[in-house]
Amino acid sequence: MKSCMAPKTECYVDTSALIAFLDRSDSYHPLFRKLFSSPPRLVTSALVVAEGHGWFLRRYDGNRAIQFLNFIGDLSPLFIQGFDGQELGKTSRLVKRLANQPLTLADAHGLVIINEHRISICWSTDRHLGLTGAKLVIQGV
Amino acid sequence: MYKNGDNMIRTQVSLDKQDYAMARKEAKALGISVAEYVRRAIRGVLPASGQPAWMRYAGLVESGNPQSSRTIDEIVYGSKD
Repeated sequence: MKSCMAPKTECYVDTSALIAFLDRSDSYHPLFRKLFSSPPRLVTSALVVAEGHGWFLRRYDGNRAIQFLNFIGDLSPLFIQGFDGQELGKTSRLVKRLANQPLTLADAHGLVIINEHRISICWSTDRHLGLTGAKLVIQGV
Repeated sequence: MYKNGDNMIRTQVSLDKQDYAMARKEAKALGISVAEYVRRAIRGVLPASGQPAWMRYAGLVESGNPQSSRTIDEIVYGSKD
């Protein structure tokens, strides 16, 4: 069984994992608290950072949104994949291919990154991130 | 700020009237001094020693929604599913 706690495993992190860690009311908070306490190399999309910031801005206020950015800044094992024209092209193709799924651009860019990095484990509570075969950590990988 | 003989650092903290009144009330209910109440509050927000810096943000907010991480799109985009 592959473990996400193994040091060389690279895992993808989506917005839901970040919120589950930061919101102690979330039912997955204990799991993500444990995972983030000793993470492997992590990768995410710049769109996930924008989405997380937007969540705090809309759910709370600008101060909480800045605290979210401070958290991202402190999370040193996290690599953030930028989103430029080339990434938009790849992501758009995937969105069109999976047009029957209500994917956000952030979800779709996540799937692109998962495929390109050959990531097998995804830190997420969103089933959409498992669409291309990656295992969600909440499924007990 | 100076050090006492019992390995405690003495410091002064200014609180607004309302916060002080509430802290005093809570401390009284717990049967402890205001100073001990403040010490416990500080311990509650400090990261545990030896933990990585980002762990100080664990449980930063308490939305009251156990489905919080599964309803992000509703907050950010309005709704998706």
